[in-house]
Amino acid sequence: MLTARDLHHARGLLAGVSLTLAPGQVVGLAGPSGAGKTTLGRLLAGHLSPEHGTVRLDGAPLPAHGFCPVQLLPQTAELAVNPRWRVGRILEEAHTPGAAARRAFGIRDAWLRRYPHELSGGELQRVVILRSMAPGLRYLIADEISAMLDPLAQAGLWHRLLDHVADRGLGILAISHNAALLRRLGGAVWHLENARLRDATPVPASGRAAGLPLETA
Amino acid sequence: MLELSRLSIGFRRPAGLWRREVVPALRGVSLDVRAGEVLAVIGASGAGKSLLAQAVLGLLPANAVLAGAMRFQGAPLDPAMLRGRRIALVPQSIAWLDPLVRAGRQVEWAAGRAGLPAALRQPAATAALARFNLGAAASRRFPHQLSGGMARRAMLAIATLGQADLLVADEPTNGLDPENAARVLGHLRALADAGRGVLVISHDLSAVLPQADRVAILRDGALQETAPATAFRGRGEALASSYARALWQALPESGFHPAEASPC
Repeated sequence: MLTARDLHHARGLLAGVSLTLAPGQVVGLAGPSGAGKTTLGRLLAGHLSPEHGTVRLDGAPLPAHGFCPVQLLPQTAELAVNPRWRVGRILEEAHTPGAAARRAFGIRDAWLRRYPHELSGGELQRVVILRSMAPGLRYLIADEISAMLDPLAQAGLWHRLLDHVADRGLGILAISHNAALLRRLGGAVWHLENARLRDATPVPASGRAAGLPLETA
Repeated sequence: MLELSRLSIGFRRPAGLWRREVVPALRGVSLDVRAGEVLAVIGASGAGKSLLAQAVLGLLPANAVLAGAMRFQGAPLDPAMLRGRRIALVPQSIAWLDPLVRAGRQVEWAAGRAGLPAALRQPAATAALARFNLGAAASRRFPHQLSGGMARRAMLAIATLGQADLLVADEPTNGLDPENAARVLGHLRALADAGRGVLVISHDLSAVLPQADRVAILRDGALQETAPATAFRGRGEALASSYARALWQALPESGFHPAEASPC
């Protein structure tokens, strides 16, 4: 269980945000530009420390060293890799994905010897996603990971990711402006606005169960 | 207004020590932009969308080889003569603005390029910025002090200040949230409604559909089809090519189907 309790950050950008993400749960996070969605994602993944409040994984703080079980996938994969490393080395930064895992994410063997700038944005995004899939991974914070992809690449990426996540029982927080995409992910949708988080899950037409209810602050 | 017929673009590169080869990038693309319409060119990255814009504006790199014909208002297109006067570009990122010059001053430069005498440039720039809801405060800012949406509107002000008949917008919604993206596309729609031709290049089919009249689908440098925007509905029965149907059905608001054999 990934829990955040009463988060305050950046002088009122977030004021009393609490949430719970369970294993296997897929939740969308929406909200206007500048509402603090990315900041919340960075707090949850331990890239930032909250000015007030706590982020806990199964009741314990996130580890300060080594691989963090909560991984942040940023919007621009180019900025999340060392430009002087070849793709093969980038991929093995945290673990050694086998050939089967590379195939599952559509990563070709020929890419391993290339540098990041020699892949397209969508190709590099898949490398960054597989890199995060180390054995210790529990939760993924996916920050607009498909905004720069065409519709086919976007659908392909999410189907791959959701299959994998279901197999391993990972929790996902998917940050996006695209309301239709968040509905498609099938889980709850939270809305961050005016420093607070509220449940904005659309009423499911098919009767599909929404995620766990949001904790009230 | 703009007619491209069987336009092909390739890049010359060395093959071995002495020979040179031409790598094709765009193959036999024919399309036209009419006055008063928004034509969207949609494709994945690497499909050759931006090459189309660069060709129309005469901004192709030196090793490009061009074949086919481009005509503008009935005469052969000479980009160097028309660029910035009759044909204007709305560029993709604020990297196209001069980082050391305040936004208002850069709009005044555009007024100069449009042929206005020096005394009229500042009022024209102020009026152009005001059309896109940018006031005196925004005009005093440097590009890095503008938000993505404001910078995009400043570039729209620059592109529309002259009397350009054709506007080419390269990925005008990239990096914008849905409200700002809709606003920018709404501005382009209004310019088309006022009689100009607008060519929008984008990977974001769902963003451009509401404002486009026709949609041209590019894949691997070849035109798949040009369809009216209204053909993108239901399961895409009205679309002629399977790739256009697959693109439409992959949208979250349509079917969210990934391609069977995804080459992405």
